[in-house]
Amino acid sequence: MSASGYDRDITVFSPEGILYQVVYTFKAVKTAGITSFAIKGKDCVVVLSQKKVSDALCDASYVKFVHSVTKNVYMLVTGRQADGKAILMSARSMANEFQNDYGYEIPAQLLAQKIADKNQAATQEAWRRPLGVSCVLFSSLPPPAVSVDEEEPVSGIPVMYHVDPAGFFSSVVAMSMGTKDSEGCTYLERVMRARKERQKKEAKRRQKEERKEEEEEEEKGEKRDMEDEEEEEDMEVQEGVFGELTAEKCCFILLSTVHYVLGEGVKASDVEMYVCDKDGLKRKTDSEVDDLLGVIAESE
Amino acid sequence: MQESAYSFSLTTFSPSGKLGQIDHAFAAVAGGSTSIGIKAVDGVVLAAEKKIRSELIEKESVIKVAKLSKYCGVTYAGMGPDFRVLLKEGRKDAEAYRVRFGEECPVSEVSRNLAQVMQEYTQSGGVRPFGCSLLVIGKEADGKPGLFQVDPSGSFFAWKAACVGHGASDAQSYLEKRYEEKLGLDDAIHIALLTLQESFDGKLTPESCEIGVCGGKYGSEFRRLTMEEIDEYLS
Repeated sequence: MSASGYDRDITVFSPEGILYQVVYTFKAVKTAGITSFAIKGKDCVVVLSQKKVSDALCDASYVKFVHSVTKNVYMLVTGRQADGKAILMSARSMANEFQNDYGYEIPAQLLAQKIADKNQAATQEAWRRPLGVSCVLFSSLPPPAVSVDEEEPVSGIPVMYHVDPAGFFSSVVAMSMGTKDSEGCTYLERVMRARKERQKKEAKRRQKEERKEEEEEEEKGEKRDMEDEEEEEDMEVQEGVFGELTAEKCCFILLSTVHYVLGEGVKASDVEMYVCDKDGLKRKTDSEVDDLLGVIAESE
Repeated sequence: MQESAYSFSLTTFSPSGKLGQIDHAFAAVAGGSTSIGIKAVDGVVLAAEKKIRSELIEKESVIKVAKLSKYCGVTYAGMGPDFRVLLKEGRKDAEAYRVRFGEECPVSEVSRNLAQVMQEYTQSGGVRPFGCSLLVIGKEADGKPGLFQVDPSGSFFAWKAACVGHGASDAQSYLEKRYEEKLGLDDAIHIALLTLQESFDGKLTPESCEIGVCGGKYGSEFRRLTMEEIDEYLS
């Protein structure tokens, strides 16, 4: 399986059906040396990006990875910095056009789809290379009553969409992007699975207790459909996993991920962390981040 | 078509008369997760395997079987982003037909339009073919159910039962054995799920597949089955 000859032109399929330029674009996202993480809670979205300032003389306050696209929709961008600016500008342009055309703020899902479609076009048209950035669009506002593809909104408050350079986009409960994205995602998946297991056990234990109480109360023993109840549990647990967390819990999980992925030497000045809730986007101060990192280090 | 900085096509003939890029696009399709369509006497069904690469992704936000117009639905195997582009074009064309002629676009016409778009991208300057094969279902003008496959080359075929994506040839032989002319929609849905199960790793669950139907007890409008409905068929 050689890439020779099939990896130079952007829109050329290799004999195995692979677009090598798109594969390389994913690698380009990693070259920036930055990893970022995001997680969705029950009423908030928490995002964190590694911050690498190239020079001590650089004014660090100008280096930002989380930007607002509209008043309520924000974007976390990871990858090549200049491409990040380009994707942000195009997102803002699309959002403003929508506002102008339709008179209301663009929903995060629709904006994610538009950005994803633009990314896809860059993988199909030869005169433009794909942008070397991966981004997460998030908002703590509920989506409007009518969603784009489905009859019901895809997820409740809040929303978080991940768009990759190939044009794939999806709603995510948590995501890691950048240099160590696979380690980050693996860790977040593990945490999610552990929480699911714990919640299942809790729910089963509670059910048993309730059933015991009810059986004691009932004079006639009615047969209950065990399977139905277990199914109901499963449905609940799936929704409740990361979607039920408070902002503090989300921050804790994200910083644990940072601690695991980026190592123990991480300090508050190496990262920037934002919490987006109904009051808008707020940056976590260095001292708050340091405190949490301290707690995590101690609990090891 | 759109303006292009390239005045020549990237898809060119080889000395043996082959269009290499289209063949490679088929390879991309063969790597995609399986999708199946089966036509019954009173309706038609699409069943697609949904492979989500991470647990962090909310499965409901990834759409594999989509509504294209009131009576038509479409699924794909191959590159998801490419499918979205075709879906958008397909929806626009179907709506334009409806506005112009005052009746819903028949499924053969929808397929023809999609095939036209796909063919253009094999011949226009500076673009590559689409990396997905589509399965389109819906109602014909005379009310009969229809199932069409549209390929990256721009050719489209009417099928009684078809499948695209990973394990398509095995699934196709499986379908050939089980298909009958007098199939009802319910049976067709069962057979589609059985066929999906054949090429699926592990046990098929309602979260890992999507089903879209037209006709039968579900009415002539295209709609996707809910997880509960899929679960009933699986058990």
